[in-house]
Amino acid sequence: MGNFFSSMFDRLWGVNKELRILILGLDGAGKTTILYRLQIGEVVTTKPTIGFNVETLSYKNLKLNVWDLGGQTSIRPYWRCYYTDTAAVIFVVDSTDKDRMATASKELHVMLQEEELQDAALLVFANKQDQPGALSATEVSKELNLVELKDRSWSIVASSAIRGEGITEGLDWLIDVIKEEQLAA
Amino acid sequence: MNQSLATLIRIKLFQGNSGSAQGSDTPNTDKEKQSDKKPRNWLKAKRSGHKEVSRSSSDSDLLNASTNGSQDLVDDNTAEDPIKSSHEDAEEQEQRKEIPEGNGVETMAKGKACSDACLEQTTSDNSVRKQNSPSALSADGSRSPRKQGKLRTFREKMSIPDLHFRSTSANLRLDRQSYERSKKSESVPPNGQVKSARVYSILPSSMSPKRLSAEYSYKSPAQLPKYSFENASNDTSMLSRTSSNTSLLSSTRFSPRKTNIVNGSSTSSSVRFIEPVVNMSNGNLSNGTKTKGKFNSVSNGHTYQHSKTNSVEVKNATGKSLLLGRRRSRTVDVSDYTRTSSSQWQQSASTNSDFISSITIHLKKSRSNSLLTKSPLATPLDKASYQNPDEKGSVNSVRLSESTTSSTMPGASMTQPTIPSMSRRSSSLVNALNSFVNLRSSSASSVKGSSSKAVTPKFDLKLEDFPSPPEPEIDETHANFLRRLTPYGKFIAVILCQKSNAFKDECLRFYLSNFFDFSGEPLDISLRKILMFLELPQETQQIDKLLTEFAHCYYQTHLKDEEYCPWKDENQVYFIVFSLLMLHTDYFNLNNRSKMTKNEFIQLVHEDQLSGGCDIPKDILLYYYDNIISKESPKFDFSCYQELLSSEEADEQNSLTTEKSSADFYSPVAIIKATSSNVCHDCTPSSFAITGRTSSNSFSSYFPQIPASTSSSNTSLVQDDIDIYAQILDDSLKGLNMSSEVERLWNGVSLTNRLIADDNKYEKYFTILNETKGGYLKIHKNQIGKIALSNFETLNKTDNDYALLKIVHMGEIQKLTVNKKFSIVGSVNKILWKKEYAILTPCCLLLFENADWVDPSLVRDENSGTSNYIIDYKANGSILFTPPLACNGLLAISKISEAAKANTEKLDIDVDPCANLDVLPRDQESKVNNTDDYILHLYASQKKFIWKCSSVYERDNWIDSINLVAAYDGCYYNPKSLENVIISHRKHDAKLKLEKLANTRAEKSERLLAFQHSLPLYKQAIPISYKTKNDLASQIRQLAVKLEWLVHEIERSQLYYEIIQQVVSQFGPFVNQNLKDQGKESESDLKSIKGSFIFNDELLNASLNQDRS
Repeated sequence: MGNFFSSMFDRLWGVNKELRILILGLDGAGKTTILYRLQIGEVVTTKPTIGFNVETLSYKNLKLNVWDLGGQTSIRPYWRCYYTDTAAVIFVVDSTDKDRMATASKELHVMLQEEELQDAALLVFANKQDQPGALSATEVSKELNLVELKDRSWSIVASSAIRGEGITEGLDWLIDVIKEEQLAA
Repeated sequence: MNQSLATLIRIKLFQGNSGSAQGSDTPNTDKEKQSDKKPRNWLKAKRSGHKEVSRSSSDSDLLNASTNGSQDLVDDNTAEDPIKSSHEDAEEQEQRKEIPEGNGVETMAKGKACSDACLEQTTSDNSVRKQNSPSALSADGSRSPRKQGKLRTFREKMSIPDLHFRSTSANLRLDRQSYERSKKSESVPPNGQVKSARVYSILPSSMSPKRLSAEYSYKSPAQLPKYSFENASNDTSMLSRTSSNTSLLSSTRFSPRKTNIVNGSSTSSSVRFIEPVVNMSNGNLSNGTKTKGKFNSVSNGHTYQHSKTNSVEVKNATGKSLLLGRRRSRTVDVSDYTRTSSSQWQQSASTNSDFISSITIHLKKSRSNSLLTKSPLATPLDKASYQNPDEKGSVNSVRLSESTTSSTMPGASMTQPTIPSMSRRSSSLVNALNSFVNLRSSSASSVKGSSSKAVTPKFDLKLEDFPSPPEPEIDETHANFLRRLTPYGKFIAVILCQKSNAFKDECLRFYLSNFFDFSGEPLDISLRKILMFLELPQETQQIDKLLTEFAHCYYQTHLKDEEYCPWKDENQVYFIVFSLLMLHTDYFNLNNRSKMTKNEFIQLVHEDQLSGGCDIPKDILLYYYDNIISKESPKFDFSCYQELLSSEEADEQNSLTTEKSSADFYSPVAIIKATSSNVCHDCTPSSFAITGRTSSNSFSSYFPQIPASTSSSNTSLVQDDIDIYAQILDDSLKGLNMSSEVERLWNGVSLTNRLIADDNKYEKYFTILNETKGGYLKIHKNQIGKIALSNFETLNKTDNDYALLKIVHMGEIQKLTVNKKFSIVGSVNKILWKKEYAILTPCCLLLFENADWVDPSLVRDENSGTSNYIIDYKANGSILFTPPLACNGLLAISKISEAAKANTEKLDIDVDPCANLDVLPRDQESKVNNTDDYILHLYASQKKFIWKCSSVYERDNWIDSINLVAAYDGCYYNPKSLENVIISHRKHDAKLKLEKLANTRAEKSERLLAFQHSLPLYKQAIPISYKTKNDLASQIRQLAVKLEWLVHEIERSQLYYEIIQQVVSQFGPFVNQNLKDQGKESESDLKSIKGSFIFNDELLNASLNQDRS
């Protein structure tokens, strides 16, 4: 029975379904590296397009469409059309960059106030754990005031994009949450 | 032994030239004379071969060109001029001295001999010779000059291969020259330096460019037929972007004659004549391979063993690709050099096998491509080479062609030692075949087109391939830091955006503002330009930084340049350019499946209030959208350009001791300047005629998802896209923009016209308006509904069942009408003047078909004691317009500005796009002009009339009366009148009306100004596709209509204002005591005024639609 159901769900989440995920964070946090980490195992067949990073990857039968968005505040309204239908937000923090933790926190909270992102799950990567002096995931979550977030499933995962640690764990959680939420909806 | 023989064959391509090009090392005039005869035979053979070619290839130009080329070739090599040959010998001696390593000279000579041997071997039955050539090889290997004499005996028979090598060598020399240059200027790590130095030393000829030019200049005057040859090689040098100063000079010197000799298409002929040459060597090579099957594998093994020969091998292949690249590209080859060297460096540093194999794939591809491309020509050549030396002359041509085609594969594989699998090879062959077909089909491919193809790299260079970039030093100037970054070429921006700090930001700004020229360019093209020359950083924030700085520079440039800067501030530029890049990503990134539509894009940008995105006209956004999606931004590599440029500049500095140049930098401005000027240099007029574009084989092969457009053609005439990158390189963007279109339709504002003059009779007509006495149109109450007057009030209302309309002016006029007749042949517009009868009343202008019903009767009114003419309106008096033209907003003028006149025509064209566009307006205009004095133009809301009056006097009366009535429409005055007189509703008094008119005028002027500010956006626009251009042109046309109306509204407000002022000064203001509550009403009144003006988007659209239908 369990098999039956899961296969049914698989069908529900079939190939056609593509989830949009935004990957955000301050510069140098390691977004690009994480993005390429996620790509591992994928055969990159296409030439990179000049412009911003957009990657598609399938993970556990889900097709994820990951957008690396950013830029000045004035651009933000422009992102709105990409915010809609966004299933999740991945926020990458440089755990060693204590100085800019406040900035990152501000960015994150401002962004999450966008109406279109109210339903999006939030996954925070406390990145660069491989480097000395990196804050732990708990510390980062404190710095980012994640506890303040209401009505949102969020998780913070310590990661090292260089070593590839923590990425899959984080993504597993994200997929679970997305599946749950989409089922509930 | 076989091994080394194979090596030898490969080496001979380079070394062969030293011997063959300059004759033998010991001058032997007898031998030269002997060789005289053979080429002539050969020439015949070749010509007969051409006949065969002509059957298969329809391109007769090609045939001519190659015949030409071969002839020159022969002339060149027969060495009829003893002076020349001796000169060559002397040069040969000199050259020897210059070569640093003694063995280089020997190798050269031996290589020559050996190559002869090889050729001999390939052309004759090889069993005997085979033993000779290994010995030659051993001679080469041991560097003993012993066997030289013996080997040279082969030479006697071998003048023809010499001949081929001669011409090859000319090119190879150039190759080498550029190769050296790139070596010199390239700053690869020490490892690479050593390696490349070794490669260099192996190459026998170390000709300096000066010598080359000296040789040219000496030879060329001596032998006229040779011009084309020499020039051709110069052209090749251009094509291959050798761009040495000297060759530039020589080419300029030759150019006048070149045009005559080289069939008017020097580039193509130069290109063609090389074909047989390469082929020859290829053919020999591959024949050798074919006859002796082991060669192939042996050579592979050899290249693996000897790094030295390996590098020669690569060189060999690149040399070829240069030759074959003549059409496909002029830079791929040169970039190959850089790549080759970098690959060598890589090989030594960290063996990135993928990278190397990608290179070899490329080389191989190009090589096999070349073989295929030339195979039709190869046949006769092979034949020649077979027939002449052996004098058998009975070789089956079919067999020969077989051998050529079959030789393709081994030939290719020889240059492909590192190719791992067969499948890849075959795919590359397919590619080659494809491009061969492309090349053949688009034989008219232009020079400029080829230049753009040239810059398409076949593989990506990554920043990781470079050593890690330097960090700025303390107190370093921007320029200095940038200079240190020069080796990184297009990665400068990436480096400057990484780990950015204030200094790097400043450097980026400095760089963008000093080494890019964005003036006069539309934003999207400038974006393309910057993406063309600079690698975009990967991280979004870094991209953002680059775009921010770019926006700054772009804005500053345009702020300085233009009278009206279309951009509000740099943030607006930034926002738009960001949107454009986003659109580019959205559209071309395969990972994004839901593409933004045109409307979504416009909506997104227009939603933005913060950065002024909403201020960008929709037309322009449409144009941006179309242009961005028309072509994906490809990756380019200009590192080779840069190196060549800097070496060129260095030469210049040496010779002319010019001031310090900018060549130390990776400067797109300099690159564009150089490329555009070179195009000028090596272009004959005929090649100028083709404002070319890229044909399908460059971009489409690179971006298969983009549908390939059709092959090259004239941009402006044929439905084709502009090859924007070639245009950028040619620096010829400005000729492509829409400014002429804009200027044709709209040549500035003509608001200076003084609309009011002293002789206007406004007072007279105001008196008519005001006095009781006069003419009246009597309308029965039932008929009032039929006439459908709007917005009127009745004075002295009684219960009578009629109403009176005061007649201000009446008379017969002729109205210009256009009768459209549609027939099978095409619609014909007939223009005629139609008689009509017009009656102007205080609230409307009535037009009647005729005046037959008009029967005025004098009626005395008891109340006022006046006698008045009353015209009884009968039902049979046919009114042309119901409702009649309301006076509000009427404007009559005698002469319209030229622009407005032009727009009148445009309007008419819009009405009927099928009409003969050329004939109609001119026809109409001439008619209008003939009777210009009596013409008045009447603007009503949404309509425009052209009236012809019987006299000037009559016309002026009409103008003044209409304008006065229109000005006083809705304005309070207190006319004396009969009973039941209908006048237009008096909503406000003169003072308020004046105020409103002033407001309207200011408002419209502002709007006009806004349009004028956005005009540069239209002017600069360079639509890439034909369709976009058409769309934009029609939008410009609409805009011109809008602008025209706007101007008229401003004029009208001004005119009304002045009329009212004049009248008020004469008669005093009429203050309406009943209208105390004007303040309350004013808002709605204002609205009604606005509504009355045509410039209101809804109305305009309605009118446009109406016109169309």
